[in-house]
Amino acid sequence: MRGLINALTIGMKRTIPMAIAIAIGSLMLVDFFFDETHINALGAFFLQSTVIVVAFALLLGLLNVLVVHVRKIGKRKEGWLYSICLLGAAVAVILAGIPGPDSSVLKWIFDNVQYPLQATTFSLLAFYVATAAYRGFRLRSLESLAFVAAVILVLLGQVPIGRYLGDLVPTAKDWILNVPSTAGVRGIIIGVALGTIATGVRVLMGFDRPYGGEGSETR
Amino acid sequence: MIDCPHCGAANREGSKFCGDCGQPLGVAGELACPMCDTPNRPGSTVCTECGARLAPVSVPLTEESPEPLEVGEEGLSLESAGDEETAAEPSEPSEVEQPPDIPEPLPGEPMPPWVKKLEGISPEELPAEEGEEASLAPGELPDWLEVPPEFEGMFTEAAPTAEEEIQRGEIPSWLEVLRPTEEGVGEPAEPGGPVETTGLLKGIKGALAVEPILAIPRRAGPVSPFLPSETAIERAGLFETILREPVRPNAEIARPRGRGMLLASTIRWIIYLIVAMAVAVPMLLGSNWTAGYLRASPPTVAFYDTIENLAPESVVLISHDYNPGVAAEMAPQVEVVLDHLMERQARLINVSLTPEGPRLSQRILDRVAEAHGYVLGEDYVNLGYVVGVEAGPRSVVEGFVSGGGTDFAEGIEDIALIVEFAGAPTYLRLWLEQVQGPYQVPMVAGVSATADPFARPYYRNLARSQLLGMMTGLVGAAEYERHSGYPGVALASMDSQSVVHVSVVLLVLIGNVAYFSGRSKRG
Repeated sequence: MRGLINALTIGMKRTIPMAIAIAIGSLMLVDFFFDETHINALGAFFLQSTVIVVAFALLLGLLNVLVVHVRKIGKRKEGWLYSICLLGAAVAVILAGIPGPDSSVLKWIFDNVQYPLQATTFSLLAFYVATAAYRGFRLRSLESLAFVAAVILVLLGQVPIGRYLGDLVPTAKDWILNVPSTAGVRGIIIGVALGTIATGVRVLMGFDRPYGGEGSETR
Repeated sequence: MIDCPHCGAANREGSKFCGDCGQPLGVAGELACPMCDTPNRPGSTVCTECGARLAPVSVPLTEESPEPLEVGEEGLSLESAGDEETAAEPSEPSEVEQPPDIPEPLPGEPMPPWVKKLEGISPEELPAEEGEEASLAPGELPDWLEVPPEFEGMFTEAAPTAEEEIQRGEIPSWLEVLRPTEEGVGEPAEPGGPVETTGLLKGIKGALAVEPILAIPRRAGPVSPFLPSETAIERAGLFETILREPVRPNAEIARPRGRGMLLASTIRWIIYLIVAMAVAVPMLLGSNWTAGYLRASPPTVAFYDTIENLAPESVVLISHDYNPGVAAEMAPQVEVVLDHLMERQARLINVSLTPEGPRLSQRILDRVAEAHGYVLGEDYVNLGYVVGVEAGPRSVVEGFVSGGGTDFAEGIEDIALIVEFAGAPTYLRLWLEQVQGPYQVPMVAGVSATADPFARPYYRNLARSQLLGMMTGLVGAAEYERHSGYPGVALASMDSQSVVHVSVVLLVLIGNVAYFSGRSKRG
């Protein structure tokens, strides 16, 4: 009896999420391919629900970050002082955002703290790329010769000074970007698309259960 | 995970019953009895239910296999049943019953009294075991092992008769030669294995067949002498030296200020200085001399033409999907395109798939709208941040369909164009897959330089142009400014960008010169 109850409980935990996922996934698939009023309305409803669920997931993520760092401070783990900074900044931005996204304090924080910090961090890449170019692009083999040649042609052809050197450089740059580069990227995109289709079919068939619950692993 | 032995379903660790079929789950490592299937604890040698042996009997490794047990002459061994000669000769008593081994006491250990009594007694003098066997003469069998008269014929029939011998001999030699030989099947071997010491089979040898290979350990083959090379000896010596070296504190290791490190650090700072100068000096000079060599690329021209061909009052959906990290190259794109759209008197719906997008776009919108006399809410709206990954873009257009978004458009068919500003290729793909493809809405995109390779296949699509036009990075914005005749910050930045690119190319060349000169010096 106990075994039967256990089996039923575990089976329900696994079967119900799977049934929901398969049913809604199939519905969205039908909604995508067919123009039927009722199904389209149901699809639109689930689409709006997804947006709401994702918004709640963001809140949960924020809550999780706060809990993790509060515990870190409580246990005096390594880097707990940074956790205090994080908590202080999070609380300050949350309080500033309570009046709404048009809050002047929130705008001030974004314009004077977040924007300069992110822009500066990304700008440092220029310096790192320059040092990497000096150290990394070495002619060690025939393949590296092709690599370095492509680097030089694209770097010069991308800016107006490339045309100053002649029409050959921009033409070569366009060929590199349009033929080998696009061919490689197109292959990646097609591969990703095929993988996405395979994953979708596996989820709809119940082989993959990425939505959690008992036995959420791949069978 | 525990696999169910009945249905194969995976169950969590510690589960007692299968979640799929409800059957009890076994314990890992338990031994199932081959006779009655009863599960036994790991390490059990005998089944707790029926007493069957679970582990094979180990055979001691000896040079010669032990002599077969010959307790009696008749009836005990089937092979010897018909051999009267063998049966007639009684075995030596010493071979039949070996006295129990008396354990040798360890040096210094006191000998127990019962062992002392046994000292000096020969095996023949040992008292016979109690019972019926004690009174048996050598070669005799107890009553219970005697062959009943009605079964005596069984053993005599086993021997070939004289008639059979004659028939076997009648086979011609040429046929005997052709008789197939069965490989691996030879004459029945002498029963091997240990003598059973307990149970009904006590005293019988080889009653339970034992594969000797289970008990005989593998012998290692001959090891060829190892002769390390000189290099290996040298490296081993170096390794030993390092091991013997006393541990230095981290601070000492972290600051090995040699000439090489100083040189590398100096070169790094020189490179940083070159990049900084390459950016700053052309900006300060402001000559803008490279702008004369700039030509608008076909994707940028296509982008421009798409907007230029819009009818007045067209509704355009603009998505600002970038963050402050790439705002330096995206903001000029947004500014010049918004300028062009407002010039074409388009009505603009702005959204963003990044949290930072609304604030970044609002700053530019306010500035350009003021220049063109656009009014927020009447001529353009900013719907803000749209959460929801794949569902985000579709929810925007589905919102138009259901009338919940804005009164600019009653449905997706009212959208004349989608303009996507993507700092990363992910956002571009979301709009293409979720909106452009299903709803067949015309679309153009301005992307960051890093996203260009991933956006290019969608533009160079001969079957159906998913992107009608494309603009890449700061250079794309400069091309657009030059093509539209409204020079802005992008065109003014071309001098700096050109000098930085040339500097990086020179650094690549100098790095290779240094690399090859270093190699030639090392020989």
